[in-house]
Amino acid sequence: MNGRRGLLGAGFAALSQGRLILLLTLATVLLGVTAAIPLWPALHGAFVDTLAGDHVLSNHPTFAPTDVFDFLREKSPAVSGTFEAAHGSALLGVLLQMLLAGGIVAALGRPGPFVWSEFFTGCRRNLWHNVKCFLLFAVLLLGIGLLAGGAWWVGKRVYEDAPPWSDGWLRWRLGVAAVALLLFAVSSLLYDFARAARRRDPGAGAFHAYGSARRLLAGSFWRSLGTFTFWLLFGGVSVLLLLGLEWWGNARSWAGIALHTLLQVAVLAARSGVRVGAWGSLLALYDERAAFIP
Amino acid sequence: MPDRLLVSPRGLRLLPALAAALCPLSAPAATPVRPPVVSYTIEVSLDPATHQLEGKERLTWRNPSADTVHELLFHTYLNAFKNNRSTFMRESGGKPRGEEAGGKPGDWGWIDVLSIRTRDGTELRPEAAYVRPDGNDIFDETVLSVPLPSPVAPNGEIALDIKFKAKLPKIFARTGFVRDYHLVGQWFPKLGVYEPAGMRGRPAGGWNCHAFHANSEFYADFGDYDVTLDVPTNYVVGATGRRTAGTKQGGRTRYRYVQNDVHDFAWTADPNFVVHEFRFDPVTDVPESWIAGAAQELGMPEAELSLKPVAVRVLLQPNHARARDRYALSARQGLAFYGLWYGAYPYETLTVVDPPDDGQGSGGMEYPTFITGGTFGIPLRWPFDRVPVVEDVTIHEFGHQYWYGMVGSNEFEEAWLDEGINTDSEYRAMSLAFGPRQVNLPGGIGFDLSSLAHSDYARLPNLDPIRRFAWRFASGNHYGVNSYPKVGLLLAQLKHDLGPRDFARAERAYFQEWSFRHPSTEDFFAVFERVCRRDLSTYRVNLVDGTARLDWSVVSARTQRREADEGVFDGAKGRETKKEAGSTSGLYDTVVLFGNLGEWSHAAKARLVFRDGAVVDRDLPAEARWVRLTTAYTSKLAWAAVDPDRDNAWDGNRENDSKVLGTGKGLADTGGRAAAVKTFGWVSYVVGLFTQILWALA
Repeated sequence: MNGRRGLLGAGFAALSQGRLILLLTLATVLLGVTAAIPLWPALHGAFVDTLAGDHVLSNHPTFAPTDVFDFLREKSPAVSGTFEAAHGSALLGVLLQMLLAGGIVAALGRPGPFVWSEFFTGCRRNLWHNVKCFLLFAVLLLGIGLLAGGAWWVGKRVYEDAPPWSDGWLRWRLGVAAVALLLFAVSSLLYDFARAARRRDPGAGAFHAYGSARRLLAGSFWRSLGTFTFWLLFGGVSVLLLLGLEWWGNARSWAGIALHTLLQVAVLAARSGVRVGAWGSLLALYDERAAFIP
Repeated sequence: MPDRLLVSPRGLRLLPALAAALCPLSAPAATPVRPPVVSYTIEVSLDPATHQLEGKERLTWRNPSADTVHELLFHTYLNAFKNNRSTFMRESGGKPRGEEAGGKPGDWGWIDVLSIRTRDGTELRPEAAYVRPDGNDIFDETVLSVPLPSPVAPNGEIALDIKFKAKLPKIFARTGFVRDYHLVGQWFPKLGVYEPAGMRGRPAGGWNCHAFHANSEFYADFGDYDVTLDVPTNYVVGATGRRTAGTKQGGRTRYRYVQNDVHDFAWTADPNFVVHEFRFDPVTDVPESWIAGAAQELGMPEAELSLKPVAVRVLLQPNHARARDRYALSARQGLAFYGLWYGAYPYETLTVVDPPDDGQGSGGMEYPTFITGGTFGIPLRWPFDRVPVVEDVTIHEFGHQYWYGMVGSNEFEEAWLDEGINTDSEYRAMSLAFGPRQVNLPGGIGFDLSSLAHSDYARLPNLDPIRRFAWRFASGNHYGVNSYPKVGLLLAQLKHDLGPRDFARAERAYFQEWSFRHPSTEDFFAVFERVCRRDLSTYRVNLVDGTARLDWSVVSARTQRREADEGVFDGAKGRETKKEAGSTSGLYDTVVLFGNLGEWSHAAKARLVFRDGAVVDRDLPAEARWVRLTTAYTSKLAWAAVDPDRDNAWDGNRENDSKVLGTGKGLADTGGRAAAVKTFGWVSYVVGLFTQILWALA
């Protein structure tokens, strides 16, 4: 219990790195805004130059859905463009995360103050390692997906003639989901520890790092899993709370919209904070156990 | 204020209402034809292991025409599911209602007519043959022609004893089985409709008996049904009509159902049904405000709107307990709304069937006194339970008791008369039951279900008129939109143009006069024209039989400061030369051009709103292709709109209905810019969240 509290304490201590969280948040906001830019001319033409914007803003029960559907139909090229841009942004986000993770591994949770030069050096130095680790992680995810899909398919065959309310089919689905989630957690921990391997051994290769990660995880499986689960739940609950607050915010005035936007940024910041906190805990665990890993 | 252009012809609108009030509401209400054209006495047994039916049918048909009839035509619609070469399967691509047919050999369905004997014992089956009235699908066996050894004289009668065996398909389109659940529709040899000359505009009498098509439902004659169902005793049964008896013998039970004056018979059997029974009581189940509203709109005394009690039976799936009260309330609301506005539900029973999650292919279907709803687990839980899908489907299918069940239009040839009119009735019933915003999601987001109709109409390529044989539409989607939401818009337009009161009176008259009959489009308009004393041919010709659209738009709008007087002017003081550089008159010239880009001519309202909040309304005449409004006023134009209240449901493009020239100043400020910024922010946010979710993976 003491150890876990220490890990969580390390995670919460990492949350004091406000500028790091801000960096992650701003990166997300930038990616989001960039993807939305193709939509702006269409929004201006449809919402500013006609009364459709008024109807949508006031959510008129008859007018608003008509105007929204008209917008989606008439401006479908712009909407499609935004979808494509969103995919591009997400891809860039993944690449950015690989880059920033290198810096986080190098600089977060070290004794003394957080040093930005150390962070950026880590970003640069660990990028290629992180890309390789990601590819291995992607293979693991693919395997989990195939396994879960196969189990689902088998279940469908086995319970084909069972009524929808039968417990067996429900249990099977829940079981598949639980196992898939567990495997995802294990893979994710392996991936994080493999990236953290550069913290102690700057020349570690990807396969070697995954090997070390496996041994580290084997030696502290439940603590690792507990830490992962805590941050997953903590992050999920805090983000859901903010999401709910944002969803219920009925913004029509400029002030309301500004507040609404701030809440949205807060959701993204909370998510970034949870990521930094989780890294803080995992790196503390790594620092504690790595010396014992052959 | 600018020159007063406000013209609100309310006085003119009162004239038709006044005229209608002076004319008789309708001809006397129709009563069922006695003796009925057709009578069926059927005994059928279900083998749930093989999903097969074995039946005997005693049929009596009375020739309703002045013709001598030499053959009978039967629907044998289970053969639509016999193979992938039937007309139904070819047209649907094997995936009607989204579910694939024939996944396993046991999934196909069929009906074999084994014997057809006259009362004197003559066997007619060898001479009977499948015919293809609608095409050349040589494997289609959904219409059986039976030549008669001796013709049926005008107003004569023939009785036949028929034996048949049928296999139900795995459910994917209205009928069939899933495990123990059986929804048995279109299951027995059923006669088509012999239409006498003059009926539905026919020049000569003849059979109307189409093949089973993917994009169509049904058409049959009104008659009396006496059906005995033989099923395993542990099965719960529901069926068209009133159960009169149930006798057990050797692990099986025989249930007898009787119903007069209906044109079809469907039933269901499932050992897992949870039964919820209640009685619709007009005294306690009809809100007083509804009675008052109907009386006021119809201009009738409340006493004349009396309804009858109905025994309602809801057959629920065990995992849909949450839907129980929703089905029950919707059935009550349907009985109340349709009963008040059109006429009391005349039957004693109503059965509502809730299909299993994987039997939704049989959901959302109507048969006389018997309807199927449709839901599964997720829509019954928060927040999705805020979307009234169960209610909408139940009210819609109940509405078919009126538009299909009693007003027996031909669904093959004029689907709009049942699906379309019922869609409009459903919108009105839902609006009455749930208010203007039927869907209420968390976060203040809500909308009116009927508002979605315009989107369907606007995005559909304008290829088909509303009236067309169901299988001749450009696609299944064209059939669907033209038969359902587009008609909802047509009737909304009619209601606006005629006024709600005249519209309601005409629709009630149409129902009353054509119950237990087979009306056509012309009959519908004849009733409306008589009750409203209006020529409605433009609606029939252009909107029902044509593809004309209305599209009033703001073509251009400009507003600019008027220049000061400059030049040579002859006035009372003689000739004067003016040049006042930099000075202005303090007025703004505003010019707005409105144009009807559509093919249909119809009036519209134009509205100009100035930055100081001044509002100018003007009527744009029906015959105009364009109208230019010019004003001089002390404030700039903020925005101009045509049909600002969206009275013209038929307007096909609402994107061009307004132009906003300026925001951010004055009383006429619009929220467009705020909406655009908010939407932009929201899209950015969603993309950011999406990116972060992927970050969690990476």
